[in-house]
Amino acid sequence: MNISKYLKLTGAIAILLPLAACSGDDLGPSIFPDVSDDADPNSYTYKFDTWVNREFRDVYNLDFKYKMEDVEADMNYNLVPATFDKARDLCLLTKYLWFDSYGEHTGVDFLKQYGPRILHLVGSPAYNPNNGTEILGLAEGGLKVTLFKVNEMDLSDINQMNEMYFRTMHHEFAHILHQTKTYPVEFNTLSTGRYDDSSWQSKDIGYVASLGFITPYASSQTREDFAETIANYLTRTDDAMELIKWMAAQGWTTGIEGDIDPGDDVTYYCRYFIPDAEKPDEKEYFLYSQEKDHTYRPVIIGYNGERLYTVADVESYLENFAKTHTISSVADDDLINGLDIINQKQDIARKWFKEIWQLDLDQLREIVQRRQNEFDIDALRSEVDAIPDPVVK
Amino acid sequence: MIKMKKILFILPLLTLAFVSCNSQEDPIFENSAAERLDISRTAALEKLVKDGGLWAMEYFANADEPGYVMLFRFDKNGSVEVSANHKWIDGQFRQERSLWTINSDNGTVLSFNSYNSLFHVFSDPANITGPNAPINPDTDKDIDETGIGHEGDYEFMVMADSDENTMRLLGKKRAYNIYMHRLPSDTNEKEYLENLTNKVNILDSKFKTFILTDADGAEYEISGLAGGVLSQFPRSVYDADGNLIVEADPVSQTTTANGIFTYSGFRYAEKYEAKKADDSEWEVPEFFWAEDGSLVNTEMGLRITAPSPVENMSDVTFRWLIDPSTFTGKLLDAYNAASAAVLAELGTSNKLGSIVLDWGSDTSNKMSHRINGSLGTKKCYDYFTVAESKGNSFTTTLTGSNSTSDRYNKQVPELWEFKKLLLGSYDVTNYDPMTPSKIHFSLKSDPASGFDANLQ
Repeated sequence: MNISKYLKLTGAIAILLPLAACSGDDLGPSIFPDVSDDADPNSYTYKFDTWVNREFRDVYNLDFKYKMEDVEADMNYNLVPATFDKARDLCLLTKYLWFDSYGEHTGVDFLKQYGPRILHLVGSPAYNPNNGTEILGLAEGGLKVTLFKVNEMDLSDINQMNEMYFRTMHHEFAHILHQTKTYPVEFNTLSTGRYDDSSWQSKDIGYVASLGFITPYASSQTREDFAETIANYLTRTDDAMELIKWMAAQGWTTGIEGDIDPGDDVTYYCRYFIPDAEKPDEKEYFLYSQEKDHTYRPVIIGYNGERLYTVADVESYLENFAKTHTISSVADDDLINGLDIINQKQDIARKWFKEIWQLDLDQLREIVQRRQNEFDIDALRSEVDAIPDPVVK
Repeated sequence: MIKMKKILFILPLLTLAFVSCNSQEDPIFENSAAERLDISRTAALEKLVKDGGLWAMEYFANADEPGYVMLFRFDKNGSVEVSANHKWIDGQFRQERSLWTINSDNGTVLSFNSYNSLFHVFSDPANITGPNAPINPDTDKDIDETGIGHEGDYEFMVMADSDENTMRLLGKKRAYNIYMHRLPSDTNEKEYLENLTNKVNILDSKFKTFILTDADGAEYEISGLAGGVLSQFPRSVYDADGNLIVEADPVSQTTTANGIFTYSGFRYAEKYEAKKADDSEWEVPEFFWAEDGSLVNTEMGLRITAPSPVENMSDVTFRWLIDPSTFTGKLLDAYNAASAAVLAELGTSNKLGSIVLDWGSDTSNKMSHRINGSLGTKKCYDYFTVAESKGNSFTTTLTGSNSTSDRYNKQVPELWEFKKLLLGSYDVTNYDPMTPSKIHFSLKSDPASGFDANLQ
């Protein structure tokens, strides 16, 4: 036997020996506690937990975390849980207004495949004291959507609920979808150079609409623009959408001579009148926009603080105002056709939904609008009440 | 040579054979980490719901507020009824049910995982509003705490060093030690909290200052005790003859701390080190209610009481109403004689009215009384200075009277005699060591002669 044979033999034995020696080890019982997947029949929340399991976990493989776990949230924020009653109602409405809307349009499989795996509810806003903003929702890698301000939910106001939750859900889901299959780069080119990630929050909706953005937040980044385009299209009422598009077609000015520094909190106006013919240069601007007020709708504010929520209201108001004042439009001289850009963005989203996801955005919008107009919270709650009482062994 | 080679190759193989089968290790713990965590979790859960599941929690949200006692009745169904009457719910007793759980995300953790307005108000990041909202002393305006709130925890690590009827919790974010003490199941939550509030309310907010006296007789002034956020500084040290030994500095030696009043007494939120007059530091311990209402720590010979009655009496904001029904000895005789003489000299419609000792400055201390008659009320002032004040004794000296008093003093000599006796030298004592709103005065020359005065 030569040296090479000894080496081979030694190598083979060295490999086999340890394997053979440990083959009989007993791994023992699982180190993890044996926990049932079913709702605890002794639990205060048994009926609701059973409903959540049945409607979300079993159908969509989704963990609806309505009992807050701070490790699920950003520990840098001061947050509190949602009340049980608010969380239950939001959970019921989430299914009815979001999951069932998609389900009605395309069946449950779509959200089963692409929907988030975790929905986490937080009672308070996530304030950012540094810039005065608050986070309404978060989507993390297509896996988890977190909704904030649940304790402020007003069941009597769909605009408020859309603003705080359902538009946020559609917004975050749009992120999940475009992170799965990207949207056309053509979208990013429509507003090149006009995004402003640092001071979007100080801009009026009318002004940003005239630049081609559906909301101020849409003007922060391209991906937020895309998500906002979809979420606003699905949830805004016809009146609100029409008013935003009216704003997009106007000229807007701050009335301030010279450049405005980024981040300056200024108001943009879209009409002026000249009450004193002897001082024609002293223009008094009026008619400004707000993204939302206490009604959570886009609004135009008149000369004396009148709140105008529809295009018809605005036009009627201007017609009457012009009878007593000399008014002129602010020139729309920014060379940007905001209305056209918004429409183009909606078309891209519409086409992307159709070609990539085989969904009809307009039909989905009709379903969402119908459902948000006709939901009956008592009927939804009765689904939970109808869960049989637990059999406690 | 070949034999040598064989041996050289076989030796390493033999060593491999020895090591490969020795997979047994002595376990440090009997169970796996997950099992131990589950056991700990189950133990905490069972402890909380045992014997009715009622606990008094001593809760701290931050360093600028006092602690608050709230009651938690834990149900094994995962719900908890919280009872509270703290100032952030306007001091009104309320109860509210919400959810709780024990999870294992950071050791064994007690989490109150659905919102309870009585408890989570301390964690809510909303701006603090209302009459108790913190004010910026520089601008005198409400501080905007949006995004911050009270900063209190609602998830707590369950610490292992607790006995069966106590649970020490550690706030997950703020790391405050929060204690819970088991209460008998039949405890009436409303009565418990109201009795505790009444106990604390006895520390009348009119008395801003309390004195901590240590075993050596050194004194420390405490302010803010009733509110639970206190400041403390040492007093200068004197010998028996009144000579200064160590001079204290109230500015540099003031320290602050927050604490909580409980049924057993007062404890600080965290370890509290205060300054002595010589600038050394000492750890101020927990205090316990004594039978007389003072706060004591017998182990260290510490006692917190109101200042001496003389100190309190001479507070310029206080007025002391003499209770005439408590006159004794010579003073009773003199008072009766004066009252009778007022009737006799001034007519039956006139009466000697209430007598008040009113401290102002050295030039404006006055004893006032009224002569109530058919022609109205006449206000009489007799001014005095405090000629000597030491310990619980003081001596007053009459310095003059207003014209009305002067007139009556001359017209009714018995009244004047009574007042001269009344403004004399006294030993004074507090009835309550913590709430000296009632003081007993005894004439130094005749201790059987005296009276009580009540803070108005």
